[in-house]
Amino acid sequence: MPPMLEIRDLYVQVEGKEILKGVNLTLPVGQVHAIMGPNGSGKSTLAAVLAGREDYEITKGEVLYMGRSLLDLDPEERAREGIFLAFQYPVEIPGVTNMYFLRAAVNAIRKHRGLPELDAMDFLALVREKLRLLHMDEALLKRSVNEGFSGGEKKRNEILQMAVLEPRLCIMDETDSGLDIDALRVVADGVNSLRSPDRSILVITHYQRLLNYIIPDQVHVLLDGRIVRSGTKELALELEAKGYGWLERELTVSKL
Amino acid sequence: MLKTSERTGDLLDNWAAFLRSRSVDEPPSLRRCRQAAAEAFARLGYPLKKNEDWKYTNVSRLAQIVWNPAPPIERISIPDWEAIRTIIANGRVVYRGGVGEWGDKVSIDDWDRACKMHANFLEEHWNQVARWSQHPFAALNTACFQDAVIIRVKAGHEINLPIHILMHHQPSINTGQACFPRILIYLETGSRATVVESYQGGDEASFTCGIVEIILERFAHLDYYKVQQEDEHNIHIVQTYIRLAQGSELRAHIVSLGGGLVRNECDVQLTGEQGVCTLNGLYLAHGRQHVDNHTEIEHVAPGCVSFELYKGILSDRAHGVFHGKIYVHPGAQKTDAKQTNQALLLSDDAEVDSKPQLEIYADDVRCTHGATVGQLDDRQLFYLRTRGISAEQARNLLIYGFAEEIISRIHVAPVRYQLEDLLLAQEGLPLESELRRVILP
Repeated sequence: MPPMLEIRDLYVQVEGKEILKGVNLTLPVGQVHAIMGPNGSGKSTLAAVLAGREDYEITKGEVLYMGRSLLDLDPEERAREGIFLAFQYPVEIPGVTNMYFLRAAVNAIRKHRGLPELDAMDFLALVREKLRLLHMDEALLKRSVNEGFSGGEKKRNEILQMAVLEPRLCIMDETDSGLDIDALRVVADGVNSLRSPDRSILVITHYQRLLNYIIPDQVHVLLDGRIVRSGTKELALELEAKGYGWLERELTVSKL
Repeated sequence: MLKTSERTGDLLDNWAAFLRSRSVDEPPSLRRCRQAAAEAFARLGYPLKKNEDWKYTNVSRLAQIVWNPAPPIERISIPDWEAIRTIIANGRVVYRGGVGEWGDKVSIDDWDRACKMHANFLEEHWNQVARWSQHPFAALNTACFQDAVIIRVKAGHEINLPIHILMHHQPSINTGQACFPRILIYLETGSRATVVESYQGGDEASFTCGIVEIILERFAHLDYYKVQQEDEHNIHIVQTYIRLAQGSELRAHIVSLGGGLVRNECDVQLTGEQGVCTLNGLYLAHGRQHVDNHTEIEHVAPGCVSFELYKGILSDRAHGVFHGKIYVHPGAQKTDAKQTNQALLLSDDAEVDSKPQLEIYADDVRCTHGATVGQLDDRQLFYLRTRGISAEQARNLLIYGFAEEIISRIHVAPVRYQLEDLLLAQEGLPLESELRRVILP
């Protein structure tokens, strides 16, 4: 069985500036990997490229998703194939209710999978079940997508979408940012409930604290556009204790 | 006697004969009024581009077409939603549904009947707010209207069922065909009602030239809808003249979905303290459609409120115009006026002209205006697409989202559903609005 995700020597430029400089990463099926790194290391760029953002220029390398090339697919095709990006900054969509949006998404994906579209009542039953899981108020469904949501509500709304869409590969971009400890627990519980042998999760984070709740199988450190170290969850604790400066210094030394 | 000229076309000649042939006994003062209006139109002529009020809307082709009265039509289908309904087809009232249990609270008459039964009422209230002596199209309608609907809601009563007036224009002659629908909505003191006007039909050689007069007496409340969905080549020029007395409130929704050249005018006079006027406008234009929303709000009395929110969605080579005049009279202190005009441009060739015009002659007022022109947001599009929604559907969702602020203010469910369907279908979106109807009452 091919890995869920395989990134090979990936180079990406944003507005002419090189951000990713040869990223290599393999995420096996059923595993949870964390990518840690300081601000500006390229974490969010990597997440956006995987989801299919079009204004980022891939200059070299390839990305395989379940053994097939990913980079030629449109964002919606990737989503329908089972890739989900939980945004660091979920976008507000005034005038479109959360429920309306969610059903459009569910049905687009179901249609792609050859399943019948859900009618209003079936959809509501499905979404209610997921809401309970995330301790979310049903009132959020009737509000415009993310509009006027608190930071915590926005992040929970991302996890709600993830739970409803049931992706194969979840990419979580700084899902912990802006969350207090209670909200963090709820979000982590939601993510953990989605762990399964045929689903892989890539957790992108600046801080170790999320990894206390979502225990990764492996931790990778992204520095200046490259994965500079990989290890077990203990690596995250070491980073927390010593700071990113420790690896940056080591890296400079080894370059010399 | 009426001289035609290049600026008036042959219109009046055609109509003079037509009107002479009619048998209605109009009260003498109203007959004189027609005559005076015909003379006013002959004097004013079709407006030219140099006329500041018509700077962005060129009506010169009107003068090049010979306009004839639309012939009567036999059949018309009646919408199935529940309302107190009147249908004007080709300018004549052809259907008047019963007012049923509301009979002692509201009267709805055609012109013939109103002239026979309510001549005194007409003498007092007809032509009281239309500025027919100064406005060429108001003059034209006042001279030429074939029939009219007169709605009168009795003091203190509330009519819970919408009053629906459907204007259908069915072209059946090859040359230019004109209709002059005319409506008077009169709400007596403390009464409440909902009126829906819809306009449909027409083609490239047809012209709808209407006047709606709305008079709200003290503490009356009107929810008013004008839904224009005529053929996308039809010429539609309708003036809505509104006068609000003390403590009365108008909520108007001006929706334009069709028409080739469309001019919606709202002329509002707030003449009593604590009057509230809300104008919600929504228009969708594609191809070469031209939609002009022209509003003038006059704060005559102190302490009145006016809100305007107009939203336009333009694609292809469509052209939108918004003119918003707010005139605050000396002494109209504590006026609160807010005007917002937003346009969403979906193509490089679509265009919108926005012209706010504030004239304020009182010192203790709050008047604001704002105009924005934008395009679809790439971040929002990307977000939707990462959820499996196609690029096209994502666009349609965002377009709908833009319009929703107006749609959500529409309280007549059949109108709102009809609009949702129309908006979503026209934009190629699957009819998901069913979901909203099941779950969001």
